[in-house]
Amino acid sequence: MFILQHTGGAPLVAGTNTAADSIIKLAGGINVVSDYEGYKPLSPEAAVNLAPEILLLTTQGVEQAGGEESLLLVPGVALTPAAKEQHIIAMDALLLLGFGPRTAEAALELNRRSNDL
Amino acid sequence: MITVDNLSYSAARQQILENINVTFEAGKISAILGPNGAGKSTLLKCLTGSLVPDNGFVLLDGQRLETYSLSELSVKRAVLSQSNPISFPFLAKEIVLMGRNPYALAKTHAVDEEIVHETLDLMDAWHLRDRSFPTLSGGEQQRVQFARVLSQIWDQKSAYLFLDEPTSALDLKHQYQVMELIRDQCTKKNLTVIIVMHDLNIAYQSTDISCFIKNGRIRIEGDSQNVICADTLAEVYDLPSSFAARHINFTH
Amino acid sequence: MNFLLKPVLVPLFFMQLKIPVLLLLGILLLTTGMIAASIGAVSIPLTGIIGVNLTDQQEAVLTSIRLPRILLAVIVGGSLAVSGAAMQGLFRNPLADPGLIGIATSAALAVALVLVLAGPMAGFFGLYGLSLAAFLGALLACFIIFRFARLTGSFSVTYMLLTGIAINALSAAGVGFLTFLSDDQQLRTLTFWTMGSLGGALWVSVLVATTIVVPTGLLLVRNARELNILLLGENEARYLGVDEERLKRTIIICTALSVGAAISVSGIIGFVGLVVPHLVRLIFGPDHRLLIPASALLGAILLLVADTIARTIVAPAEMPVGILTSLIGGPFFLWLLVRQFSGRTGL
Repeated sequence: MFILQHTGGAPLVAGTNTAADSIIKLAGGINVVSDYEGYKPLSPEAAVNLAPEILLLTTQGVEQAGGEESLLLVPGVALTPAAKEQHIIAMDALLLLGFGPRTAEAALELNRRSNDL
Repeated sequence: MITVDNLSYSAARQQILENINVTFEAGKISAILGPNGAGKSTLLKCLTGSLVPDNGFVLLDGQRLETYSLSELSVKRAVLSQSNPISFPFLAKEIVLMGRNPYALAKTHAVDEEIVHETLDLMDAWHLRDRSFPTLSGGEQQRVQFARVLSQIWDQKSAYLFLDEPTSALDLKHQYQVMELIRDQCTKKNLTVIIVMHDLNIAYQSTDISCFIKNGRIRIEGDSQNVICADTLAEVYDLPSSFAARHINFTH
Repeated sequence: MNFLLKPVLVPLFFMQLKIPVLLLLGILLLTTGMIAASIGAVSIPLTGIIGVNLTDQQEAVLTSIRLPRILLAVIVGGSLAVSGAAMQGLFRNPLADPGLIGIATSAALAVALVLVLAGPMAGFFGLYGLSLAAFLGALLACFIIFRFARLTGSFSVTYMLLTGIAINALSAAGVGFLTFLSDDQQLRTLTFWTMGSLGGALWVSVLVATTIVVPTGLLLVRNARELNILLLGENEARYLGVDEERLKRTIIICTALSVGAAISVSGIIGFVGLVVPHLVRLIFGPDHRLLIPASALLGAILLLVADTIARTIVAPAEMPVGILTSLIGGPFFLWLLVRQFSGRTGL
């Protein structure tokens, strides 16, 4: 599950047809959010139901949310398996989402880091 | 009794009232008359305490007006202003009941309801009690507001009643009724009644004292029957004396 | 303070109405709350709400997500409706609401400032920075309105209204400029913030909002009788022994605190403050002693319903609740205007 950002309300989470969705697939992962397109606020309860094993963020997103500790307090997110295990991957926004020559590198890094968890 | 001592008031660098000295006695109805912009309403506001004079002072029962607290004044004097739109659908009886606000502490609901009934009845407005105030006609609104003002000092003796054009929206019958009512209350309860008005006819017939103001000064003051005459009108309203004489003939 | 001790003048015809109406609305709110608690992505049977036979997951969802969110909806809805009712009374204008005098917009400006200029913050400020900014923005708007009203010598309601409108325009311009400066991510956050959401409900936010909203709401109820009198006019209120300056000050401060708290936990949620008091007035009349508490309950009910729809209708995503309230409120408001023009009720 990729969280674009969280600042107050429900977290903005990537659905299908997003750069984040594509990079997750490239890295061999599954984006748990498949019911909607684009970035939308995800209902906290749905986040619990979807039970993601890994939370993917941009480093900028983590900063904006006030660090990983704050992120783990977000309603719904807090109850996911990923949060319980503290499986959070933060990568540079440009590297992760800016499709270009470094995309393969990003996918490989994402794959490696998710296997390391 | 209300005494005005050397009162002056100015706003926006313009002198509106200048050296006003006058006494209004209890048990009498006094009219404040004069041309538009003479300062009548300003004088009334100084008397009620909603404007503070630059110079001079107002004595209420021999005590400086500004030394009274809001709640002390609220049981001593009632004021009927010119029409004030009310934008919420309060019922007429609820508006009148607001006149009893100064007695909210006393918890005399039954008495208050009784007074609301009585004052509305006297103003020939009891049938309007369950109507929404904003839907009433101008004259009906004025009568309901008058009932509210009456209810405020209903059980007070020697109180003060200030009225700003109380009959402006009323038809002849209600003008007559209201002036009769004012006279009746004034005598019964020894009220000091001060009315700002334009209608010389009513002033002549229903008031004791008339006080003519022009350009912020008192020009002529005395028994209404004496001072409302052609000479006064000619002087105060800058009328040709022939017109003033004709008007006075009609009035008398 | 003496106004805390003043008993309310209760005429007989009024007393007959007040208790049953509030009881009825209270029961309605409770029922709505129960139903809302059972609806959601994780379904929980009605019996489960009182703690019977819950799986661990159901219990976790109920206690850490759904309950705080329901309570927050109740608090925020109540706060907005009460503030709207009080503002309409204060300005003697049935079309007033906290948004009108720039409180909401200046909160948005503060949020935009923090978001765009201050950049990311760590820890406490990362989590609560925007809430704090919104709260301070709302209070600042109120403070400016106050200073300007003072400059004119008296607390003239007209000046307060005009100052508020100027603040509204200025803040909107500021938000516009910051939107221009912002990057993609900031813009998205700001946009969603101005559409309102209760999705961030934590027990902490419930607690903070409650400690501000409840006392200010009670204070407003305490002033309800005098608020009635104020409708006669400012001078008339004084003639009737009401210290109208103190009253206006109390109302402005209470509503600013209350709305500030509500906005800070939920973003901007429109139309609740405008429409709910109208609805109550249409049904139960304009007396503030009933209007304010009844608005609180009805506002709570409406926002709770709207938020329950918001979090379920496009599941697993959720709709910003501000969109829903405006969607319901907008047409209703137009209907009210038509009614007012046709002059039957005199509103």
